[in-house]
Amino acid sequence: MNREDICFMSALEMREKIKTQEFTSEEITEIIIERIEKINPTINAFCTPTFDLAREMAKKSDEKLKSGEKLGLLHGLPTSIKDEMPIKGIRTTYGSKLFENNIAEVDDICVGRLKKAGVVILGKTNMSPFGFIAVTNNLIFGETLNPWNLKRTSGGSSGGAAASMASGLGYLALGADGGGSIRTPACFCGLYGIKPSFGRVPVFPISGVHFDSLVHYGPIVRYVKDAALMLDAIKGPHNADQYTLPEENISYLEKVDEKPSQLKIGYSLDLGFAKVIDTEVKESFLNSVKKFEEFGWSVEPAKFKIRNPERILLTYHSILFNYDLGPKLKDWRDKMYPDLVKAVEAGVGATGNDFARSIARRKVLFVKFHEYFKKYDILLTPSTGLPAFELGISFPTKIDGKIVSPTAWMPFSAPFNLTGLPAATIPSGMSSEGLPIGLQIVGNRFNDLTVLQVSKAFEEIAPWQDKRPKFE
Amino acid sequence: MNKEDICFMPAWEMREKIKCQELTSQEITEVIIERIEKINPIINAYCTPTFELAREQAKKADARVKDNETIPLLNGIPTSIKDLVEVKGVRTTMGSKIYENHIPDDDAFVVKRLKNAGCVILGKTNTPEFGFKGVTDNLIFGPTLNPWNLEKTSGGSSGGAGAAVASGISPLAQGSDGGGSIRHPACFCGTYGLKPTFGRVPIYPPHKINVNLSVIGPLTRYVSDAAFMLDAMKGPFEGDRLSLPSDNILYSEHVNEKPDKLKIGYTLDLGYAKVVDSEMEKAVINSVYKFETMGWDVEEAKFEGLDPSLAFSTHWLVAFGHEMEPYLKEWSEKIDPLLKTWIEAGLRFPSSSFPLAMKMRSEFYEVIHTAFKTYDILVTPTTAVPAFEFGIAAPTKINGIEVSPTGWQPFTFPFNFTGHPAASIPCGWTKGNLPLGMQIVSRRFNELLILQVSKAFEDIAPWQDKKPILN
Repeated sequence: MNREDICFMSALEMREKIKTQEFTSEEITEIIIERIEKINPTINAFCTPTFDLAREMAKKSDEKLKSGEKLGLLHGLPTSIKDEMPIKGIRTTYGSKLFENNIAEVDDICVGRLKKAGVVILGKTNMSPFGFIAVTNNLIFGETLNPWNLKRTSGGSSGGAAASMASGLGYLALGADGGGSIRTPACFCGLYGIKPSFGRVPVFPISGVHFDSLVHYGPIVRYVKDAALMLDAIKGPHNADQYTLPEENISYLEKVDEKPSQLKIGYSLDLGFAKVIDTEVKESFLNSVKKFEEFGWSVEPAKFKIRNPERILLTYHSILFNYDLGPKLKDWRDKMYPDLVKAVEAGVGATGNDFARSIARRKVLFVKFHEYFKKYDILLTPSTGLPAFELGISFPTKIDGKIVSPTAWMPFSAPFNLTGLPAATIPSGMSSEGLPIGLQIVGNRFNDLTVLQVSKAFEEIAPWQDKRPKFE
Repeated sequence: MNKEDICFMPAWEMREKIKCQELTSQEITEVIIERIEKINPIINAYCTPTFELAREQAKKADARVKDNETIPLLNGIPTSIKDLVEVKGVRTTMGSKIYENHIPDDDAFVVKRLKNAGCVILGKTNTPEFGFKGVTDNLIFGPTLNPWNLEKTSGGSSGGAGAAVASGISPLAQGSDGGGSIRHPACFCGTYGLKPTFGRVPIYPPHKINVNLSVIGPLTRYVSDAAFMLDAMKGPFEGDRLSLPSDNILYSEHVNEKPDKLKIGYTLDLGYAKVVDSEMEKAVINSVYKFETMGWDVEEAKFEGLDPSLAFSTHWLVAFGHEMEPYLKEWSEKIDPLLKTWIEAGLRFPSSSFPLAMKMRSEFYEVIHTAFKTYDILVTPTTAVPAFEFGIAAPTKINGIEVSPTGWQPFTFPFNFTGHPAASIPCGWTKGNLPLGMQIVSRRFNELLILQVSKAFEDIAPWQDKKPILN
C-alpha cells in the first residue's frame, strides 16, 4: 500500500488495521505528519499543528493496545480540531487577533470526549474570525485554499477542517456549524459533513459570542460511516449544556447500513426564496435526487412558502457581535477582520425589540418545516448555490451572470441552524471545472440516524472517494 | 362515601374505581360540578366552566369501560385547563381583553394529549393576562381567591388551577410555569405542583416569541397524581423545536421507588435572596431534615451571590414588548396597567440588553450545574412568604425588611432560566393557617427523581387531611 492510499483510507478501516496491529498508531501518525508537512504549506489547513501532542498520544495508544486495555471507539486515529474548540494547553484563537496568544485552560467537552475515545490530535484547523464569514481567512493565519483548485476558497468557517480532510491529512475532523460552517466547506472540498440535531452534541464552553442555540458541532469526513463513528463518540447529554438532548442509547455506526424500507423524499431548488442557482449545480442536483428512487423511495418536488430568513441571522449576528466586540472596536479595529467590523457596526442602534423580532420569526420558520415534515421524511436541497468561488472575496457577487446579494450563494444552510434540524452535505458530482458539488440531506428532529442512513445509501450508488485532489 | 370524599379523592384512586365500575366517571363528574357550582362563586377559580363538554366526555369514558375498550391513562378523571391554553370550541381568553371572545378552532397539543388520555374537561381556570405575574387577577374575570383565606391571593399565574385543586374541584389541573407559575400557586394553596424539565411537555402552537422559559406541568393534591398526569402529557412533538425525545418510562410506575442514596443540599438564599419569612424558613429546615430518616444525606448548600433577576426579567420584558407592541395603541386602556409598564420598558431596551441577559443566563446555569455536581437534589423554600393579601402584585416587606417587587419569589424563576425540573410540595401551615411550600429541584431530565423524593416526603409528612373550609 502506498503512503497516499494509507492517508486516504476511511477512519473505520484504519481503526481495524490499528486494532489488528497491521499498523501502529505511531506509524500512521508519522505518515500523516509527513504529509501535513508537505502539503499544509500549500493549502494552509492547519493553523496550529500539535505534532508533539500527536506523537505522545499515538505512543500511548499503542501502549494501551499492547497492554490489552479496553480501547476507545476512535482508538489511535489522527484527528483535527477546529480552532473554535479549546484544547487544554494549546493555542486557541477563534481566528481572531484578539485571541492570538490565547492558551486554552480547559478542553471543550467534545475534545474531552474525543480524547477519551482515543484519538490522536494532529492540530487546530483554520477558521474565519469567530466563524462569522463563510470563507476561511483571518488576519493571523491567512486564507485556507481549496485542494481541488488552489485559486478557490475552501469555504468556511470550518475551511481548515475540510481542506485537510480532502487532502488526506487526517481521518476525522471536528467542525462547527452556526450558519453552514460544516456544510459549506465540506461541499466545496468534496466531503461528507453533518450538522446533527440541535442538542445532540454538547457545545461547551462557548467563547466569544453567545449565539442563541445556533451553533452545532459535528464531523467532516470522507466516508459516511466515519461520520456515524465520530458522532457515536461525541454525542450524548452533558450537564454543562442547558440544551443537550438525553441519551438515545443507539450506535449510529451499528445502524448506518440499514436502509429505511419506505421513505417519502421531497426536494427543493429554492425553499421558496432562493433566487439563482448555478446551472451545473442545478443539473447535478436534479440528476442526484432521482437516484434515491432506486431504493424504492418516493421522490417528488416540494413547494415551500418561506420568507428569506437571512434577516433573522443577520440581526442575531449584528446584535451579538456588537454586544461582544463593540466595546473592543476602539482599540482593536485595525486588527479585526473588515467584514467583522462591518457586522459589529451594523448592530449599532439595534434594539431589544429587533432581537425579539428575530426570535419570533425563527419560530414561524420552524413551523413551516414542521408542516413539511408532516408530509415528508427527508428534504433534499443543493448544499450551496454554486461550487467554490475565487479566493480573496467573502462572497460572489454574481451567480450564472446574475447579480446577487451577499448571502444568496448559501440560502440552504442557515434555515437548519435556525430550526435545529439535522442536515448533512454529501458530494454529488464535479463541475466542468473539476470542483465538487454537494447535495444537502435534511431530516426531521432527532432523525440524525435517518439522515446518515440515506447518506450511506447514496454513497453506495454514487461513491466519490476514488477522486482525490492532485498536488504538485 | 360522601360527596366531599369523592371530590378530594386521589385521581389515581378515581381511575381505579372507574375502571372496576365501583364509581362511574359521570357520577364523579356530577358531584364535582355540583361542588364547583357551590364553591366557585366564592373563590373564582374557574373562569369558563365547560360542564357540557365534561358530561359528554364522562359519558364516553364510562362507555369505554362498559365496552371493554382499552382504558387510557386518565380515563374519566375530571381535569381543568389553564386559560392560557386553547381548547377547541371553548373560549380561551389568556386573561386578556384582547382575547375576551376568542374561540379557538383547534386544541393546543397538550389538550389533545389529555383528551386522548381520557380526561374529562371541567373548564378553564383563571390566570393573569398572558400569565405575566405571580398573582391571579385580570380585567375580565377579576381575582382568584385563596381557599385557605379569602383575603389572600391564590398566587399565579396558575392561580385558578391552584385554588381549584386545593378546594376539591379539580382532581387534576394543567398549569404552566414561565417563572414560578405552577409552583407559586401550588405553594400558596397547599397543593403539589411540578414544573418538568424544559421541553418535556411540548408547547404547540408555539408562543409567538419563546424565550425558552415556559413549561407545562401538573398541579395535584397527591404526588402520584402528578406522575400520572405527566405521563399523559410528556413526550416529544415535532412541532416544538425544543421538545425532548421520549424517555421511554412511565413515572407513575416508578414513583413509589425510593432511591437508596441521595445527597440533598438546601439553601435559603441561592446566594442572593435577602430574606425569608421566619415561619417559612422554619418549616423548610424542619422538613428537609426529615429526608434523613430515609437514609439520605442532608446539608446546607452554599452559593456565591449571582442574582439572575435582572437578566431574567429582561427576557420577559423584551418578549412582552415585542409581542404586545402592535396592540398598545388600540388596547392601551384594556391591558393590565402593570403589564403595560412591562411592555413599555421592554420596548426601551437597547439591543445589548438581550445578549447581556443571555450571557448572565449561561453564567447562572453554570452555578446551578456546578451545585448538581455535588448534590442530587436541591431544596429551597418555594416562595419567601406564604400567600399575601390580594390586590397587590407583591409584598413590600418580609419579616419587616423591605424587599424589591421580586423579593417574595427569588427561588422559582432561576429554574425556568436553567430549565431544571422543580416541584413545590406542602411542608406545613402557618399559625394563621396558610400553606407553606418547599421546592425540590433536580438535574435536567430527572423529574422522576423529584417525584420519588416528593412521594417519600408525602409518605412521612402527608398533608391531605387538611382541607380548606369553604362554607
